[in-house]
Amino acid sequence: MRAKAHSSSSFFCSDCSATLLAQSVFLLRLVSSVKLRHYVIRRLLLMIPVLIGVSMMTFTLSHVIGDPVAAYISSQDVKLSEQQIQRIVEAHHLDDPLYVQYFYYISDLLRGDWGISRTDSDRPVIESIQRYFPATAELTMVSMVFALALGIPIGIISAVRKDRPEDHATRVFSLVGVSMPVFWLALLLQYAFYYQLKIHNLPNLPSGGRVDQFVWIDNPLHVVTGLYTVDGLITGNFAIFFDALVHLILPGFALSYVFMAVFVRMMRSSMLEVMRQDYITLARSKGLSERVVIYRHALRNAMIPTVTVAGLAFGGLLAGAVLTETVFSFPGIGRWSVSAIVRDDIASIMGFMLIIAVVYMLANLIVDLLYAWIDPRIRLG
Amino acid sequence: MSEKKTSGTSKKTLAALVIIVIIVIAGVGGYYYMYLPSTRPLVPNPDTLVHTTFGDVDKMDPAVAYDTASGQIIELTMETLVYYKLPGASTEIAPKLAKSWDVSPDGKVYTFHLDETAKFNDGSPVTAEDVKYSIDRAVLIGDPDGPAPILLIHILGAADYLYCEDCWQNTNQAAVDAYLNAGGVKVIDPLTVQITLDAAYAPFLSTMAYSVASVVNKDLVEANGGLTPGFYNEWMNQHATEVGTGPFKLVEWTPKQRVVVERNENYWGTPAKLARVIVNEVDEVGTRELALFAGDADVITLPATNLFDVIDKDKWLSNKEVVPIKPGLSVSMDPTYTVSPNFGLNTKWKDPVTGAMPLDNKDFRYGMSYAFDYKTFIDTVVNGAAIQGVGPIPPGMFGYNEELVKSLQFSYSPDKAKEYFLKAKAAGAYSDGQTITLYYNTGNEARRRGCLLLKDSVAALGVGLTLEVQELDWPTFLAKTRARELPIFFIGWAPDFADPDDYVPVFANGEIGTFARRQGFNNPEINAKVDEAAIESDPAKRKALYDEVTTWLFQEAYTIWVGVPLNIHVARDWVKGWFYNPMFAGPDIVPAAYGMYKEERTDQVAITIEPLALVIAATVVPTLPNYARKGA
Repeated sequence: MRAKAHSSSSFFCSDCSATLLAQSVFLLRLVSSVKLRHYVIRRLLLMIPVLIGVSMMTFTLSHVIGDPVAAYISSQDVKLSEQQIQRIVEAHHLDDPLYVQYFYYISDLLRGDWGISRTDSDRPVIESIQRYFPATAELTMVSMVFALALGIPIGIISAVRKDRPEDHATRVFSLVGVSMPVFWLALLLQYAFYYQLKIHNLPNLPSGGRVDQFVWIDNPLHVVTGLYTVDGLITGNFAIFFDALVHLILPGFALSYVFMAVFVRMMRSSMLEVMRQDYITLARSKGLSERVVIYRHALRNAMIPTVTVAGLAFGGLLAGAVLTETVFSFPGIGRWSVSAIVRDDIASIMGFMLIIAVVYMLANLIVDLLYAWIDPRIRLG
Repeated sequence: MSEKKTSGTSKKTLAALVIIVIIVIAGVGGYYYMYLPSTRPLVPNPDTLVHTTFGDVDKMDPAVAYDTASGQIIELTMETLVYYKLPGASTEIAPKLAKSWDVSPDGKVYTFHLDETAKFNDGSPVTAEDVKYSIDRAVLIGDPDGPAPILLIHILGAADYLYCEDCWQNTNQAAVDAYLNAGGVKVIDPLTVQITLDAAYAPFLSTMAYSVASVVNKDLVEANGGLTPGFYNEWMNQHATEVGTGPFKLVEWTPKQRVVVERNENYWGTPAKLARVIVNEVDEVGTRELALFAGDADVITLPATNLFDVIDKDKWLSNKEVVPIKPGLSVSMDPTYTVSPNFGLNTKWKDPVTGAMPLDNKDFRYGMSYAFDYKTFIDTVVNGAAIQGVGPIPPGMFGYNEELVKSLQFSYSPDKAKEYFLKAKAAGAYSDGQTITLYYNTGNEARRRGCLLLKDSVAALGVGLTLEVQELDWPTFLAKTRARELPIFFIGWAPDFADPDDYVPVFANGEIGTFARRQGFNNPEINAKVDEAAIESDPAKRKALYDEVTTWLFQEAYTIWVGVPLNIHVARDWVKGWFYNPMFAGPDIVPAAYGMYKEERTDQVAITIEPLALVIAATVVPTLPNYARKGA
């Protein structure tokens, strides 16, 4: 294998267009191949048993703990008479055996009736997911961008400058990231970038929410996708676009920090591992510049573990959004699920688990496809 | 590694860094110059009250809404025939949509005369037909989890319908006809409506002040889904508060974010001073506090556990003096109508090993009531934001007899506790080594600490009795209290209407009372007195009956009356005209309907980005030469 000896990489290249074109062609070939189509279909079909498993587990757990009727009564609501409680029991088949109840549940699920979200004003669960999922998706994507855009370069720097001050600094940075609870970090960020800046009359970042209430009142947004930044752009509502973007900075960073730290550590170790390989020595001995060696030869191979973790992290970010959304009062699916858990709102909890499971599986599928793109030696089949 | 190879790229890196920094600064600077003014008023948005709280609105339809978040929006936007005498803490009934009313001598027929000037915010007048439709609708929807079964049950024919077995999630036409034919609510003329009760019921007017009796516009409801008995009207659940008779109207409800109401410019009464009230949903209390301190929130909801973030601890605990510790705050503490928390003792509990029934012994129960350290609980667990429990009727309500309660209240006395426990032991109520478990629901920190307090003080007595503390998740807690399996558990009650009949039966009537039944006692004589008090129209006689029941409850000590919480109101001092009324679902914002406003101050605070630019420059600029040197 002979690499072109120009001083560029796939990331910082002077003739990017050629590299990009080559990569796009490869990706196109990959996607259009019959083998790949079969692979994707098989993977999608494999999701069915997993989803059944998830639904069984959540259903069983939610029904064996305590009195299932409590799922339909909140802890504030203690004023129900015995007759009313009996009526609830009958309406929800709670006096039937568990497997019969499961049958009712799964058949409703297939008919698109995911139940009623009591924590969301008795709206259908499907509708609640449609309402809250875009906010979380937006937040998660921004976090992913933060985590990757900062984590990977920092990890590379840390590996390349091993045992230098830069390396020590990034190791402290990542150690703090993996050990600091996200809600604590969130509160610190709010305190520093919202409160302290605000009381000193400096421009500050908002403490929470998706958009400022007054900006929203003055510039009502026509919601299309539910992603406010995208909707702001496509409807030409730039006030909302900017405001939504600014509102994503603190929660996005707070949510990304743990995974950023993981990426740094992962990138650093795999980079160090790869840099010890013979082909790197060969590349250096050919007189290639250090940048070419690092970015062109080492990075791709070192990326594989990070991509694996990134796929898992995407699911983790969705789940991590639970705390971040609560602290930043971000109206996403995580916050909705927290209120559902607090009120034992089983239908919502199950809807949340199912949707997280689906996203998790899709993220992993995408990761597997990315493997083949990053390292052509990996063949799907 | 070859150093010289990096020199070319370092320049590029530097250039890239400079470009990134320029883009970021330009973006941020541009944003702030475009969207932020150069100064901001000291009192932001003087015509808008921002209330930052937790908990989302459940349903906007007054016929079915039964939670505080929904209740407060309904109280701002809709009105009932009668309401409380405001402003102030009074629960005396005063005219609202009805300018006057007559009561028949037998106390069963109420005739309301509507105010002819009353109108909805769409301009249509309020008619007797609307009133009849509103009340019939609340009964006929008949949500078993809603307020109707508690509050409208006394209307002629309503009880049969509301307790009917198959009237929920099902339209039972026979039951509907039976209710309508009973004629509980009748239109006499366009401005007169008559409500007949199945029996005289003294607190009826108080029940009519609850939001369930809010008047809706019949034409509007009929145009948007109408009434299907036994089912919710989904349109009303989302939009009911957009068209009401109240001083505000709903303009936006974004779940898990905010509710916005704006002044009803068409209001038939005295218009509100505030143009807009925004209720923001922020679950994290720290975030709410920061918003208040920064001036972005005018009023916040603060739990008692965080009380000393805003007021001086020593002054409050020693002299009950409320002194804010941050400038610009205004804090008030007022007794509520909530009777909670209390320990309910289950007299029918049997020790599974020894078969002893210690809680059935009155001396044992006295020992428990004397063993609880009320003052320590109130001062340390709830930071003084409560008063000691006063029995079933909260202070300030009709029927509350302070003198009597003071003479009956237990106080913490280890000596007396020991004496009574030993007496109970001598009588065979329990033997040495007896263990009883105290239960609370997971997540309730105040209750957990209350249990530990009781456990420790009983352990210190050395009477051969050990208390253990056990948490249960809510479903299990509920299941076990219903099944009467728990010996000692927490109980509490919040108001539906301002009358002891909402409270006393719950705690005292062993036939129907939610807690009395779970505590396993039933005294027919007392039940009769409770029933009699409900319909007695002579206030003196009524009061005497409640005195008897209260005395009996204290003397039997079935319940350890721990506390009545105080309402904590935390606002910026520019919020003026606020007052407390214990019947408000949302005491922080409902006064906006009765003249609350924000003081306008002319002071402006300059916002400048120069200091920020200086900070960035001071940090970034000195490092640039290093990069440049390395690059070269």
